[in-house]
Amino acid sequence: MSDGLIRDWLFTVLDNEGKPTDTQGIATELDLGSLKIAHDTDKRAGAYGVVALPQTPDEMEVSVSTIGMTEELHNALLSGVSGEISLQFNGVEENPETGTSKAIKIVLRGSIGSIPFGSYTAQSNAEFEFTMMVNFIDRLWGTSRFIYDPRNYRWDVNGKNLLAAKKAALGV
Amino acid sequence: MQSNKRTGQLLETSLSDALAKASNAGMIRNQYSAEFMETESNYQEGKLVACMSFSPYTSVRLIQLKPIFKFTISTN
Repeated sequence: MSDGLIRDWLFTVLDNEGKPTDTQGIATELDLGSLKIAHDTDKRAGAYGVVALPQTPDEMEVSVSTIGMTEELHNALLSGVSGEISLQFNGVEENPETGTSKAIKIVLRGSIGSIPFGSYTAQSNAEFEFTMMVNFIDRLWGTSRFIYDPRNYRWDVNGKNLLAAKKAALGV
Repeated sequence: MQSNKRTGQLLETSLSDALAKASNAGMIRNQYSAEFMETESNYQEGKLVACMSFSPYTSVRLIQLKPIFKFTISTN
């Protein structure tokens, strides 16, 4: 038994009109963060101790570091002020024992959180870091697919929306 | 850009973004999808096929989307 390793990846930024910009050669770190679900931890009568009740997901922030900036990426990031931009991550999960590989795709859409102007050190690569607040997630892990779209009450797991009943009851 | 599975997925992302934008603007219903059709695409020929499904609120005849390329769709 061996867990899959993820070493090879790249990502593309799509501007507010859907035009893609690759970041090969300059991206160094990508922290996609996590979708945190807060819990109501009030004590209630009728239960011996706290029963944690899940609330709705909190905001999610993505942080990206690059060692350079391109004109296209600069344009794409700035376009995020007047519309949402997207980030598409493509990766490979490989199992070194069996030699098999699995494709991973993550699409995140949201608004730009910070626009980098760069950190400069003499004789070193300049560093740029930008953040994005996420309003939509589409993650494909091999054949397992998850879609989160809070605007449309979507929490899809392999094509089934677990919020379908809530959405229908609300009539949205 | 060379055609491959990743660029096909980028096409899907771009079209999905355009539909989300149209939905947020109230132009189409919130049940929409854009899907990259890998089996119908031909990477050697640089042909990428994607399927979009959406329905407008009113009987609009033309909707313009502006993803990677610009095109116009008639819903009739």
